[in-house]
Amino acid sequence: MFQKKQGLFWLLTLLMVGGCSNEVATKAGSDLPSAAEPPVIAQEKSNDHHKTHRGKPGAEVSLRENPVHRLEPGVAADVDLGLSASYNQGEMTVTLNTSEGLFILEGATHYAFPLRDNGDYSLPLRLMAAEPGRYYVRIQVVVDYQGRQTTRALSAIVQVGPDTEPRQKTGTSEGVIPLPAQETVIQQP
Amino acid sequence: MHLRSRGKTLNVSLSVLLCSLMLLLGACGGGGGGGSSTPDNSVTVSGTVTYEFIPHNEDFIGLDYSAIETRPVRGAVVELVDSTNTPVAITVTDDNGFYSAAVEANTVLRVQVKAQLQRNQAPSWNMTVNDNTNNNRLYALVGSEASVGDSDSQRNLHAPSGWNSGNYATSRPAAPFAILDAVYTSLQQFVDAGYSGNFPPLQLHWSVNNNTADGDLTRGEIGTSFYFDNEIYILGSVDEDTDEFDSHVVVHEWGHYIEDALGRSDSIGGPHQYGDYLDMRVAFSEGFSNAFAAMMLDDAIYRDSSGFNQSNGFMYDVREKNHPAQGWYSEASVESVLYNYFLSGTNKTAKDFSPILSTLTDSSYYNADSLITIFLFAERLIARYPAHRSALEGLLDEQDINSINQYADNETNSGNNSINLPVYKNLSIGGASTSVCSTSEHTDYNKLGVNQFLRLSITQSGNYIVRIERSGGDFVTQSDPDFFIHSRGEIIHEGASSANDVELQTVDLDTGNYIVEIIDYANVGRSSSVTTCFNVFIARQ
Repeated sequence: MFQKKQGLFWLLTLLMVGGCSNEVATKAGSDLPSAAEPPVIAQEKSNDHHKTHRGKPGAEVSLRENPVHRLEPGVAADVDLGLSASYNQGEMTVTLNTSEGLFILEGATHYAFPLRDNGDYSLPLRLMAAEPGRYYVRIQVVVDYQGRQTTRALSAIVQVGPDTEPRQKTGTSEGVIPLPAQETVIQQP
Repeated sequence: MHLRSRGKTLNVSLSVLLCSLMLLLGACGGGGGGGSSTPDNSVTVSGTVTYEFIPHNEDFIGLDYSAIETRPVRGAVVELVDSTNTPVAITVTDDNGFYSAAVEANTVLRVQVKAQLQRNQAPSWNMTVNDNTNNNRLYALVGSEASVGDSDSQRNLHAPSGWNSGNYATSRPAAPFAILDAVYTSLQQFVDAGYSGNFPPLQLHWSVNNNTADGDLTRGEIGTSFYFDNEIYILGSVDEDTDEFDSHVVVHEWGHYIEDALGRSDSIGGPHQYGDYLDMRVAFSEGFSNAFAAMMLDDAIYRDSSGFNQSNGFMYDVREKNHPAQGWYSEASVESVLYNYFLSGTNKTAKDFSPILSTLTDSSYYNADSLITIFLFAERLIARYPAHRSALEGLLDEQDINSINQYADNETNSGNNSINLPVYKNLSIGGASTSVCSTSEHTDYNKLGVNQFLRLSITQSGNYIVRIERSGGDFVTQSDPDFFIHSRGEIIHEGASSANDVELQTVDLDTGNYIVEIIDYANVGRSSSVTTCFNVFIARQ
């Protein structure tokens, strides 16, 4: 109950303080800088590049780094989501939003970048969530390059408070996940 | 479950065994008969299983929720399950989504349609859609439990999309069946092409939690829809990126599975996009999968929805021939060649998939000494179908692909960098060293020129010293030459130390032909364009 009240308090405070800005703001000093964990999937030497996923086609844009951004509940922190785009010309538009409960306090939510050689593109944000949990900053990218438009959706992981979610076992469990059917039954006389 | 008596457990096991046996014998197939022996007082339970499919908008960008279609669930396993959760009959739906099974009168049961395509006669398959965020459990569309009564009855089940008033509900029952149906359509193409082999089991993982974060797969942080190591993961995160109705995406990834499972792929994977200058192994695999999706779905417009309300996305026509990057290193060129060859009616039957399939599954293809590239594919296809030569060569020529030899003899397209020719350099035993250069001009590890390839022929088994030493190139303080020795698609040796400017290893090699891949690991992910050159030397110890 206390947690719920605390969450509501933070939500109201956040809405009053300013919510999401569409302007690029000057980077303010953070109350507590976000701590970044090492990348979830570490790049190893050796022939790891022979064992990489074969993903679907789309715009070749990725997060420059892929750490889990760690925040404390109710404490604002600065996070800079750098993008790498493998284009030397064209235009890239970027739209940001967050999963429910994570708020962008400062930072633009829409960008248009002219693409340049080996470009890195900075998306500075000030984030806060009232409740512990796993959140995401969602990034929609549209690239116009050499007469063709492609898209890519990306997400940055934001862990607020401790990560308490139990690990799932590997392998396949028995039993099915029931999906409710719309059913019609006709009994013959 | 643990409280079951020994006898009951045995009955359950026997029942499942019987049903499985009957499926194996084909008695349950085709929506025809029931899956267990017909009791004296039997009644027939039959029905049709359907799902909602959401097509793309007329301009192929985004999903059109105003045009939802009802489609049959085809080839899926149907179980009639009694109140103790025991299947009393098992069958599969036919091409109209129809199923039928005989059960004892007055049995209380429910109909359960598994997100599983199963066929036990050749060509056999077993492909399922599982939730990677829920212990990989299988999805199933489930009806309500009721007595079958003492007369025949129909139970029709429908899987709704869950879309209602501009939003998805928590449950999206149609999604796993939309994924399965794209696969089923593709499987039928294999049957029509006369394929009689068996497909290795495949799990496709989908969840409403499958999002674009790159992290823990069991949380749904899958990054993108992808194929890896006989498994496919499909995005399902609303307002971000869902792929269950993007059939071309599903079949593109299934194409990677087909390459691996029935033929061979040497792709090193990684990011790729239109206009890229790619490693030739990646260009072939990705171009093949793009063309393959169009062939299987008989639809040349590749499309992928994403964004808020799944209203954004992109599309392109795989028939297009004008591309900014044209050549053996371009996935756009490969897809254009393969798809337009498929369409061609010059000395062949238009839209006949069988020449492509028989080439991919030919032992001379998957056992080839060279790497899997457009060159090998062209050589092997023409060897099998000489009459198709003019059609294929014309298309290759349009894409500035100038060799139909697996080792790319006489290829003249360098991808604007002379270090890329010849495509395969020669490495001789104990002779002069071979000079190769690795470049980061196209930035990533899977792009053209980062990796270079050498042919090596061993006539005497034994230990060999392989030495790679920096010989020139751009002035950079650090290089990290590595090598990988490939034998028919397998890496059998690697030299991947972090030593600066040099790599030295002793390897044992049997007689045979090998491909030696050379890479400057320092060029992997380098942010600027750097070219480093090396002398490669091999001698018997």
